[in-house]
Amino acid sequence: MSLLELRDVCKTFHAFGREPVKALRDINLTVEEGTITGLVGESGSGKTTIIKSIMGLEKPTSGTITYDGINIPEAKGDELRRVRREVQFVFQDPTSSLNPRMTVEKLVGEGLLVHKLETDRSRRRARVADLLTMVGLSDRDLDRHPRSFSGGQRQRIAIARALAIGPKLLICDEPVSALDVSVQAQVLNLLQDMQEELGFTVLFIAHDLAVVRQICSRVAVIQSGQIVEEGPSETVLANPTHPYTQALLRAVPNPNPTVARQRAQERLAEEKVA
Amino acid sequence: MSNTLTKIAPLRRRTVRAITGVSGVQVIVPIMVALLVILAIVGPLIAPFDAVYRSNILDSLQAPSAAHWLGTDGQGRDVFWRIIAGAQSSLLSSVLIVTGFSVLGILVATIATLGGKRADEIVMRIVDAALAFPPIIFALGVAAALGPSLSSAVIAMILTGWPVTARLLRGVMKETMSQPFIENARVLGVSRTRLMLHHVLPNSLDVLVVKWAGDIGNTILILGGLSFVGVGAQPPSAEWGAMVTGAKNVIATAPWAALAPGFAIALTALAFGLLGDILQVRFNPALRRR
Amino acid sequence: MNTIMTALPEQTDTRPEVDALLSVRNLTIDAGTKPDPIRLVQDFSLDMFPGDRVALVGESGSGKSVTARSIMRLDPDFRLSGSVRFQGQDLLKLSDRQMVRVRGHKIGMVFQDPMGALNPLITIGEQVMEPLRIAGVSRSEAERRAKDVLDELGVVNAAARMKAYPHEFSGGMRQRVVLAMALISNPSLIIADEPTTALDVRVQEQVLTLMDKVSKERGLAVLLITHDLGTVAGFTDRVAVMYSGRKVDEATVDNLFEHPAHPYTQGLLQAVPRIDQTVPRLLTIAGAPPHPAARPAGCAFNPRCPKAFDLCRQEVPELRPAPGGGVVACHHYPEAEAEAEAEAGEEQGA
Repeated sequence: MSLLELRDVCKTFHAFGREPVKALRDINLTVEEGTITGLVGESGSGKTTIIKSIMGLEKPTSGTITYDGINIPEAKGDELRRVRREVQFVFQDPTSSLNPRMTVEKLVGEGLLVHKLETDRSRRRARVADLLTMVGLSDRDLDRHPRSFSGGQRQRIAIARALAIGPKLLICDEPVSALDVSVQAQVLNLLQDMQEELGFTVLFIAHDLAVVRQICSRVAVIQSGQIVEEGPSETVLANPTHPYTQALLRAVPNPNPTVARQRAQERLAEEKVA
Repeated sequence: MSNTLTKIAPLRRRTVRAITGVSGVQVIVPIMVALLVILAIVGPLIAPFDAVYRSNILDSLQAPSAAHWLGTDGQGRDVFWRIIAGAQSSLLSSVLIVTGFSVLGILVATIATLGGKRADEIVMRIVDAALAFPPIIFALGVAAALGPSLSSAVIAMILTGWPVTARLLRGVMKETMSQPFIENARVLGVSRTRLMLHHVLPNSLDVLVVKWAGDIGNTILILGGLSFVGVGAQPPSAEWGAMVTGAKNVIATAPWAALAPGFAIALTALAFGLLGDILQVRFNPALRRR
Repeated sequence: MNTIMTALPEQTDTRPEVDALLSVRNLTIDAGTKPDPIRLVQDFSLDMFPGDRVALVGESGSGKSVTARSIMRLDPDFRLSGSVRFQGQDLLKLSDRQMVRVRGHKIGMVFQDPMGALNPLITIGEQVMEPLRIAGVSRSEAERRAKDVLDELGVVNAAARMKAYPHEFSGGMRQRVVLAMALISNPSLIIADEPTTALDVRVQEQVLTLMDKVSKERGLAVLLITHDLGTVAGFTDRVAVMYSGRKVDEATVDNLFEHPAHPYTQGLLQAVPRIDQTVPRLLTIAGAPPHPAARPAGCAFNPRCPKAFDLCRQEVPELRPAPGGGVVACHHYPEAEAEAEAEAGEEQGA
């Protein structure tokens, strides 16, 4: 069953005195319930516009974005409240996506308070402490500010904040690309473990194909506002059919010096021919 | 987006740290401010009435001595005791004025930020119009309507001070609104009021804290100017600005009469200004030493 | 002191130091105010010979960028000690004016953000020509050479595009322009600080290919600063790994990837997802890199190291020869072993 469905979504930006920019062209994307689906593209491909549309902060020019029967761009009142509670986001940069003035307790507990899921202060604190333990932090961190944590820990806080209200759909926008290399694996494992344990659905937006291959069961590739290839990630990444996907895959640096040098030789040869 | 702020921030951070980092400043400044506040409260009670208000032409323009620590003014009144007695009207009225127009400014900026494009347009045009009123002229008008007194001056200055605050704060709040954590809060389903009180305002007000403290000194000076043109504190009030302007004719023969209250104003302005910087470092986790 | 230091096995190379293009010895970098300075880099040494392509790999706070910038003396606030000999001249002893003549003329620099490195109000051509114009080269000559270097870097229709402004160029094109600025005065060394991090994968590949080509054709030495081990594999000959202000591992690129010596290098290689293989679960390095102001006692990596033992928590390990060649700073490769090997070698000789 599909939990999130984008149907023929178009978005055109009009700027004064310029050609209109078609940021999204007939996007069709389905996120099946209980899966981790990857959306891969380069900067300017339309990834950000898709996320903003799902957030309800950007209205598509045409098409529908349906979450569990609710058309997000038109949602109001109770429907909008349900979307806000059931769809949560984890952003790229945990430093700027966490309010620097709030303590961890307030940050993680905010959703519980706003959606009146836990109005009692001490019980809320206890639940936040549980959540922190779940993401690998501890109840000693409750009264600290995000600034005193490392990048990886901040992203854990952001994940705890998103998971606090028990979302059904988690949208992750490049959740590890701003983190230190040695910490990325921790956060990826955490996301994977949480998803397996709690069974929520994930839309994972990334530019790194290796990361996508590691954690996504399905993947869609977007190029200049269009989905050019979509399917199970093993199939798409092992035997890409679209030239763009092939080019992306070829460009991924290979951490094997022999293979990488051979690639470099080939590229130099191509360069000379061209 | 945050270009200007991010570029200035490191420089500003360095200066703030350079000043507030000097050992002792963190301790001395709050003590100074506390002393000034205490003075403002008890000053008029401890200063002998005769020394402050009674004219005594025979004693006029005496240089500082054991009897008159800071000398006497043109009417033979003791400058030291007048400064003590005047602390209340000078300091409390400036605090009142600055706090008053800051609150007005916050309200207006909040309406402009939250009310959408149209509200923003309308509010900011009103701000532009209000900015066109020079405080002195406006105060003259208020004084004409309410009668010249310190309270008319206070009202006039509150009514002319808010547009600058509103304009400044609206810019800062717009910038805060574009931060990712605001989007994050919005998609969590946070209400507008909560968004404002917990996310936007706390991250925008540190600019205002600094401005608030810096404005105090400025306000004392303008209040003095208003006294001079006759719409502010009325003689024989010992308000500091009025003391400076009152002594300006004898500055060559008896410089202490103008310099002493002038020094009191400068010291107060400095103390509050530094307090603003210290508060900023305290309030903003980003400025704290890691 | 210096002679003793050079005798220490801190180089993977056996080539004599006199031939070195760049020879950094015990570079130590401090920042912050005097009473409590922050040590950003401690005793960093590295040799580069003409045409060498070396990668300096590390995470945030490892000191890799600070090291690169300090070789160029870009941050006047840092206090530097040790020596940085470039073509036999100690850069740390030069006056600021002499240093200006080194920067951009003998050593070129490429930064991470190509937009920030370019002045938006000046045409591409002017910016590429600038180093030559400062050196007093005539305008027509500078224009000719700017066009040549842009041609070399694959900027199509270079003569016409020199009149364009930075915003009219794409990210990859801008990075070519920055590269052209670094190359125009024929430096013998380029320091590239994360040159591809801000770029998309395909553009990243193009820029690396270009740098590969240019450095090979010109016999140019390149010091590539990066956090991404992947980009290192196909491009460099030698890799130095930094962790929390120190060089902890240095080896040829093949050795580093096949037999990583330092537990940190081993962990890094396992923790990065690979496009050519999937694992059920990524192996991780616990914890996070320490802040330079709060390093643990002993080896800075010990709290995260699965192999740490008592000595690691007490003593900072020195760089010693690693079993597979190269050097490593880890108590798991004790001096005794190296000595035993040396003795064994002597016995064989006798």
